[in-house]
Amino acid sequence: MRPTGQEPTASDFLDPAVLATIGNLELLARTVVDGFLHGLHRSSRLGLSMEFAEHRPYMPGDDIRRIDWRLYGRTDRYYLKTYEAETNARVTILLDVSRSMTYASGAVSKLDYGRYLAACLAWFSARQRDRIGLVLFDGEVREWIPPSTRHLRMVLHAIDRLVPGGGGGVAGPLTQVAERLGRRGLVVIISDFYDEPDRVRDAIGLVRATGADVLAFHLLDPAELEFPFESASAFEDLETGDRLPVVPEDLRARYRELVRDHVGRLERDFGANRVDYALCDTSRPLDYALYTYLARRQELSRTR
Amino acid sequence: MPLAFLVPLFLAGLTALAIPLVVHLRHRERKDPVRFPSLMFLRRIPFREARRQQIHHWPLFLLRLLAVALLALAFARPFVPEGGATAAGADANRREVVILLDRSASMGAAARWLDARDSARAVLAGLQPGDRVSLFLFDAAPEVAAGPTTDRALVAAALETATPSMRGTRYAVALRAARDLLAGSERPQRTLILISDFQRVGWRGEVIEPLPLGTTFRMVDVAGDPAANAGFSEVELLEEARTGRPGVLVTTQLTADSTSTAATITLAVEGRSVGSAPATGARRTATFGPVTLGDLPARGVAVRQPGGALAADDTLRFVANPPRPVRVLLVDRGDGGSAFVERALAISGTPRVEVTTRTAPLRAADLDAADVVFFHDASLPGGASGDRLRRFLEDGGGVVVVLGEGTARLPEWTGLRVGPIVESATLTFGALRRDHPVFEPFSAPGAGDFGATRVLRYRGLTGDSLDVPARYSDGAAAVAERGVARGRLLVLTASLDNAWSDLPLQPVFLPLVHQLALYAARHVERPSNYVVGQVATVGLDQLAGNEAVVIVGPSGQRTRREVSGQPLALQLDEAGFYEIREARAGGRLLDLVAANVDPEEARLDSMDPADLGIAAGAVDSATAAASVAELASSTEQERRQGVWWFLLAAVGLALAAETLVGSRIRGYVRTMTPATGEP
Repeated sequence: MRPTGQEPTASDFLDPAVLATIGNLELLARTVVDGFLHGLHRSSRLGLSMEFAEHRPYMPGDDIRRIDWRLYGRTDRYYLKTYEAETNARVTILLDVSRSMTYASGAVSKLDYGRYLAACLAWFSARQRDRIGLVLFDGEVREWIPPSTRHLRMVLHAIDRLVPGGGGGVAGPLTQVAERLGRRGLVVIISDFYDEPDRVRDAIGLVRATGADVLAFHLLDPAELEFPFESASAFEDLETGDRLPVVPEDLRARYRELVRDHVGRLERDFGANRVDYALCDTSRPLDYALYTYLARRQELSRTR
Repeated sequence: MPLAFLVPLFLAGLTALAIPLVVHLRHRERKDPVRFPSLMFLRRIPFREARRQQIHHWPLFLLRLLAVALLALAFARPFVPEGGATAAGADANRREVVILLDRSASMGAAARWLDARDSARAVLAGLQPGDRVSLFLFDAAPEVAAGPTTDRALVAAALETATPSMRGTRYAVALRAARDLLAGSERPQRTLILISDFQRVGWRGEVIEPLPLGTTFRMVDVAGDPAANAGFSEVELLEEARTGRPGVLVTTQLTADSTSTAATITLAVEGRSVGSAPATGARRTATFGPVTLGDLPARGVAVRQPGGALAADDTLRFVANPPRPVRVLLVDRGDGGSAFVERALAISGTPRVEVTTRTAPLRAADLDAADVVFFHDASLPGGASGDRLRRFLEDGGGVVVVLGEGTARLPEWTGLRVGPIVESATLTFGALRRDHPVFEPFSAPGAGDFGATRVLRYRGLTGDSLDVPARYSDGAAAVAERGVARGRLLVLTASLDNAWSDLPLQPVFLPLVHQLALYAARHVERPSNYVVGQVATVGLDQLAGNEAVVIVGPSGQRTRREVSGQPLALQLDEAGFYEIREARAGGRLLDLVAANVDPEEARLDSMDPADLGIAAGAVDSATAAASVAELASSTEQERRQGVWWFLLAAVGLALAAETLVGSRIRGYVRTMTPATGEP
């Protein structure tokens, strides 16, 4: 807790409760990332590959090797292919927008936390000149923005205006994504993973099969982890609307055990698929998630 | 102990015991559901319906049931039926009885006292076992003769030994005493019985606090038929000057009693009848005289008028002391300056003032025949005469010094220093302490205008232990007093010759000079007779120092008292003559004090007892009895039904315990789980 009367520091902006007060998602992402990177070594520019940017008319003195002969064949004019510097990563962020993500026992819901995290990762990746893509999904894929260096604002805009969807497991949309992923790249999955671990494992396997590196952020509210409810009540499923009478004090221990099992299973399965897994408590600052991402990103650069 | 219920319908409230149970069972359905991200894990936990219906916190549940049950029982108003009343409750039904028995002198008339005692005996006989009774005997003051006690024999014994007193009647003080006792009693039934002749003079319309609520006030009137009676209301003694011998003229007056006709009054001196005279005129007076008193310091004189209903007031005793004038020795310079003072002193009434004038210097022998020495503008003597004057003062004599041209200084033993003459054209009397005995005649509002006096000159005066009752308008002392042993030294700082001030021409001059003389001479007018119950103050100037005296009461009882220069205080409890004699065998008579029945007791006419009852705040007997019964009944009922108060208190305790247990359980749950939403 920051003492009152002091100016906020950059690290304060990693607190989800503070982030919730920032309306502009771009500002939020920039603030968080800049604050997070403050004090870190700036990572070196990764890769030198070129990516086609545009054609321009030939000018005397230009290298004739860069003339696009195909276009000359169609137009009978000399055009040069220009390229822009290309990083070596295509980052696709998969954000779960199902109804269960809207749960919040504190100031920030899992969905908000996921939005902040996705925005921060997008901004962070843009700084690294990665190509950014976004997939919003609930029971199925709701929106798909293919990775591009020019899609940052589009991604941020999509995150900003997203509407929580319905219910459904994670496996379905992951399978869809696996089918549509083109090149290899980095896939970041932000979800609460309310699905059977076996199905999740299979779907993740399909994604991995595309050659993509996968980073999974498992978002859980503290109440989901601890189950701190006192009085006996009917519990309503946010996605299905089903109700169940629950005596929390009777079920608490068993519930915690089941959650631990679920998390452990996911961790094991993801590990087996060489998928980085990070469990994020939405009451904790974003830096843990960002470190996880950065570590994975650096590891990726070394293996390339 | 059997219990019954005033409102058994409220027992139906016991069905409310089901409320906590129903609330418990239906608790969850009524609450808003808790929205949770997914029931995936919860569904995997085997759900047991039995667990839902189980009571988890039995102490909490039982406390809630207990509170509801106690509340229902309290509203049903349980009570102990009459048969179940305890022995202590039976005691509480007993009465607190106070008997106020009038024993004033008027109760000695006819058969009043016998009737009063019979009435008191009847009251005692009518008491229930366990009744607590007190016997108050009252006249001018109440006295507890017996009780409060449940032993009637004790009260009866006190009643048998009681006799009428010679004192007056005061109903108010007696009623206040009885009221205080009744108010302090814890018994719900209280009875006050006043047995009296209800003499009108005993009630002066005093305001008294009402008797405690529900007190039965019974009044037993023993006055009987109106009785003719006449007593002496006053006696006046006048010095007989015609014969030249010590003697007095006695004029006595009878109370105006319309029922009595002609009355003959007999005068007796020292027990011997010396004459009789009819009471004549509208004021029914008789005059005797002169009565020769001889050399005795005091003579006991009595006037008698036999007959009438009350024997105690047939005789009025009084003491005739030989008239003793206040002897004033006036010393001046022989220039006629003291003429105003001399003339003022010569004009005297009672006591008579004898003035002897001397021209300074004063001779020692002159003091032998003087009570007061007035030095008017004359210097005080020195040498042997001065010593003699000093002894005169120390032995209780009085000296008044009027400063003037010729008194530039005073002897050193006076402790006073005379200053120079101060002259002023606008001076008058300023601060005057009218509570000082010298100015007592002027203490009434508007009496004695000293402000009109013009003072042209005066002498300054200073000294130690100087009392200054009068000052001039500039603050200087006008009249000063200094005590010298037993004597009084008074100093006036301006001459009384109409030259230094015009005080001799003012109306206040004559009474002032007389008062100066009487005060300096320590003259005290003593009444010729007292009323039984009063305290007589007797100054025994004849005794040189610490000596013992014997007081012989009217009944012959002898009491030895030590006298040490202070006046003797004598409590007069009997009617008759009190003789004060020297303690030695055959000791001479020093003084005589006469005590009589309160003259007001001679007026036997009665008042309406109802007036007294209303003043005491009591209702009539029948209503009072009914209200007492109601009060007792309702009080007893309230006592028997008081269980509901305890039940309500128990409800409060049960709810408090429920809150405590509930908060502890919730606190336990909180400590089990970490707080959510905290970073």
